Amino acid sequence: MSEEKKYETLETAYGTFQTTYNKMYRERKPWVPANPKNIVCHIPGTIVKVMVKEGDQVKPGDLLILFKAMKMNNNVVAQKAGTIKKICVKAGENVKNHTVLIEME
Amino acid sequence: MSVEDKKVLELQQRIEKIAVGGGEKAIEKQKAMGKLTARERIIALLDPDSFHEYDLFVEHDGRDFGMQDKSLPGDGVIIGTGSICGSPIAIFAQDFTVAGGSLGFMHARKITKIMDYALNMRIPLIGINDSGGARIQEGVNALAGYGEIFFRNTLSSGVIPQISVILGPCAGGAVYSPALTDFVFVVENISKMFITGPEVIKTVLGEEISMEELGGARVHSEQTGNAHFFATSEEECFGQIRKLISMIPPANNIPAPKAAPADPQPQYDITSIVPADPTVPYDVRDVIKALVDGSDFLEVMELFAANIVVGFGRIDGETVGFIANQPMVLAGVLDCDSSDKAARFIRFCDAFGIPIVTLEDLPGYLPGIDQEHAGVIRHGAKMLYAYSEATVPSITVILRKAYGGGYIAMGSRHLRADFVFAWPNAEIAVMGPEGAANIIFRKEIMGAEDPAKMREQKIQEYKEKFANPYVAASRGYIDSVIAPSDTRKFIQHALHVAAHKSRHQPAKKHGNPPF
Repeated sequence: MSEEKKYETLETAYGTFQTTYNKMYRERKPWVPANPKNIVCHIPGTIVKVMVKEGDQVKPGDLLILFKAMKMNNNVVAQKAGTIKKICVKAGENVKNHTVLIEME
Repeated sequence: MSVEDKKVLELQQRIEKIAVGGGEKAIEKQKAMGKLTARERIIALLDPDSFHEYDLFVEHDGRDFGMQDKSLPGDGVIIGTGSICGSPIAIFAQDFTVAGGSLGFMHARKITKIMDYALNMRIPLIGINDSGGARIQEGVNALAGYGEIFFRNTLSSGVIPQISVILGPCAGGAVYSPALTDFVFVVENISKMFITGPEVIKTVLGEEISMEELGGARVHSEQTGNAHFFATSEEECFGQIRKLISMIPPANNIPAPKAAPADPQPQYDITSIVPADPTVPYDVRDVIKALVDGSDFLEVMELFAANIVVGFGRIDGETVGFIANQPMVLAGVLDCDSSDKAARFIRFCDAFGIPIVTLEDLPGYLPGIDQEHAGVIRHGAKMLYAYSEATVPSITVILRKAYGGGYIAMGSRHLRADFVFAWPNAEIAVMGPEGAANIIFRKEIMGAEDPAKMREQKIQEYKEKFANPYVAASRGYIDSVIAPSDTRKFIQHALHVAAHKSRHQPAKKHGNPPF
């Protein structure tokens, strides 16, 4: 029943315990804070048209990208004023969820 | 030959023609995938010669896309009643050899017919799923069929046990019938469940993944928690189903089948399983086996959230549901998945009148950003809800640690456990001694000449005060501090005393649990 086993340790608010990890715990992703300067998509889809170019000044509400996802054309608009530093995608490109579309400064 | 004989012969010929299903070629294909046919499955699962089939002669009513000229034997699904270990059950099995087991209107009507039988007769329902999905030639009629099934799954929930067996693909909307049922059985390399399949994912996202990696038996057993029982062959799976049926009630107003009482096996010695040092792990399933008749424990969701163990065992021949922290995995902490798992299990036991025994040894909740963001508040609350709502006999044994929120969540007196016992080495505390000492004795520690030494001294002081069951016992939160060797005796007696327990919830339409 109890053969010698090598255990891992788990830190909790109540001290450190010997135990084993499960797959879900071992493969959990570390948290990365969102970069407010990046414009990221929250659904996978296709870039229909990029309406701005690098160096452009934009103000809140300006249309940046036409983005097709789940058979809908979505307008990606600027949330705040700034300069387009880098456009990371081009028209026709399929993008995965959480892809950085535009870097602002 | 009399007229009657002629008619009987004709009947036999009609039956034989339909009973072969999709024909030799399709059956060969089914076998090549390592699968039994729908009819073979029913025969393998049920008691010998117990199966009685209905609606064999039902025909589909598709009128478009050339379907009007096609005949589909039994419309791709077999329904009937039979018995398992002598107990009557209702069953349907989709036949993949007939039009890929696709679900059309009449196919769905056969399924809903047997679902209605099961509910009205108060017998368990077993559904064997092996289908390519909706029969698209029938359009919205196929979708209507799914809706009718989901509605009945919900209606029957908590009245009769519903078991889903995934023995082939089960994709798109079809997955929601199993998801609404009590127990889902899967078999490695055969079961496939997903909302959108690998092809759609590849077209839309350009991501490539195999069916097995996306929604195979292992994924649903280990990661998603959609499946409750994992097997490596259909035969093993049928054995698991028979075992489960032999242990659970056929309906919410009928007790579970009783077995002859038996002692636990002597190799499970309850006094030597749990190490005294609260940081050293052990397998809590050995404690359960030391408590149940014949050391026979049927674990549910063995591979998912293994930091909590749930399942059925018998005490004095009566079925009991066990919920136990597993120190061997993640120190037995509560997290999103383990709370979900335990809550659903408790609600099954409560709905079907199965007493619950909780074995507690946990250092609270799993800390982490991922847990907080995954909604450990909402998921953790499900467990509090399930315990508080349960009116079946509830017995809790604190084996070792009961810290913080974990103490409350794990079937505490405060959530209306009927009996709470603790072993003499149990530690019950609102937080770990280190943290507690730092807060309570902050001034003393900071003001001391040697703060480190003072801290150590205060930690010891706190431990001595609270790292025992007697403070909780002095408040009556624990009924009895018991020797580990007396645990089975105390549980036996408590179950005996609580056999006719009557506690009612206030009248309401239904509660609003944090789903």
